[in-house]
Amino acid sequence: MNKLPAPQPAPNKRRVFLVEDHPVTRRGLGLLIDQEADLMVCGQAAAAVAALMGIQTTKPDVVIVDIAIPGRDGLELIKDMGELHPQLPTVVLSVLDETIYAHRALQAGARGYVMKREPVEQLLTAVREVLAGEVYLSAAMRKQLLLTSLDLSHPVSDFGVKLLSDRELEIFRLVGEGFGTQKIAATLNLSISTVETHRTHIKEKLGVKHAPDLVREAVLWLQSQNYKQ
Amino acid sequence: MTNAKPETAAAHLPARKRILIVDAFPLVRAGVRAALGNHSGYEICGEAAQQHDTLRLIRELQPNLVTLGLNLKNCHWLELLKDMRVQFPTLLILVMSTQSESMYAQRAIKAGSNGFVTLLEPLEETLRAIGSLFAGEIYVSRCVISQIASQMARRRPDGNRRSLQNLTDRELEIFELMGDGLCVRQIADRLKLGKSTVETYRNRIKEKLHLPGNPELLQSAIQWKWSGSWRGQPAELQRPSSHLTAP
Repeated sequence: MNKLPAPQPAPNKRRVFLVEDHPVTRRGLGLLIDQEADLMVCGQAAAAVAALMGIQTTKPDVVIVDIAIPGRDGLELIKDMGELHPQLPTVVLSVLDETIYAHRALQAGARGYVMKREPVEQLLTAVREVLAGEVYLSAAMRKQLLLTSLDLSHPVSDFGVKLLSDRELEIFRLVGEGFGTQKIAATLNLSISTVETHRTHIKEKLGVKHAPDLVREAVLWLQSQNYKQ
Repeated sequence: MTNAKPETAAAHLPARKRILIVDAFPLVRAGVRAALGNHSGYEICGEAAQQHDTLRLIRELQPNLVTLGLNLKNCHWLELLKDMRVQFPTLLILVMSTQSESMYAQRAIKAGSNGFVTLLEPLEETLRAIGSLFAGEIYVSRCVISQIASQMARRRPDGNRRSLQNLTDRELEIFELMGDGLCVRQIADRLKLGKSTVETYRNRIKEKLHLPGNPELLQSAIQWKWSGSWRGQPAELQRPSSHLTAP
């Protein structure tokens, strides 16, 4: 195999910046992007601070971010990039389930979401779509979003925690801390059946069916709140 | 070519060592392929992304070594690893983990893998590990070794009382499935166990982790699975609930 010199910045190639903490995956990503005729890697970073600095100096056209990167929440990095470079589109690449995380990523300002287990073609499609000013989600996610938007009881613009009343939010927070119904009732001086009623309402408002889903939503929400403090 | 020592079955084996890459993520497979691709002594004979394909391809392609990611869908890696070890006793298995916890390394080695590296390490670490495995050694990456050493140094009589390390493989598997949001019935179906057996396991996990009840257990499992952090104990009861910030 011929050793090629470092790729010259060709004017017709769109510049891609990679934020990914696993060297193996970063190498796979770099190879994938660089072998495309219209794309090239202009820089890469393994953590949020290095990413912000690298983006400043390399001026990419698009950023691919793994939202499980260390140091701080990848979602927070996306928000920072949105503030500093509002025109720069971001594609999230993640191990985390899209049905649970994609809407969080989009709300933070990402323009695309691709799961790591999907074929690499999906990532390339996502990069090209967001470069063209589109939003990219998998077919399954688009369908889910469409169905949610058709369900008038869950207006998509105001989906989730914002719908909770103060009392419900308080209980939601305790659920995220690992409090069971009995303990919540004792802590807030409420009856168990009242707490159960609140839990049912919370589940309805969040659009989740089962107890483990409620706990997961609460844990993830609490985590995002802790980042803000 | 030098022949250091005669190999059994060398007659029908190719000169280059055959490696099968197993990982659910295409980009990881591409990265491993790139890391090994330039080495003249190795040949990538195939890739697999699922449990079923993994066992089939080992049978068909007869690799000398498998790199095994821990992220295959609908299958717990410890079970797969043990299956591989039983079905292919001489196969070299290198676990490539996203988890850097030493607990995973210890379990992987115990379950029959020959080496353990994490994806956080440079590509050369993978090459170094594979070289060691072919030399007949057990290889655990440096960052994991130093973790184990510092744990040993820190260990007090009750130091690891609440540690996940105290869980058996089965208990850890059930704890992780709970973190995925599976209920008792779903876990029972997945593992082909009775509901009451899973409940028994659940009680044992609670006892070992000193968790008072099912809600605390579920919260811990989800926290572990989604953020990799293990607090080891449920929230304090005196947490103030008066001051709430709007979302």
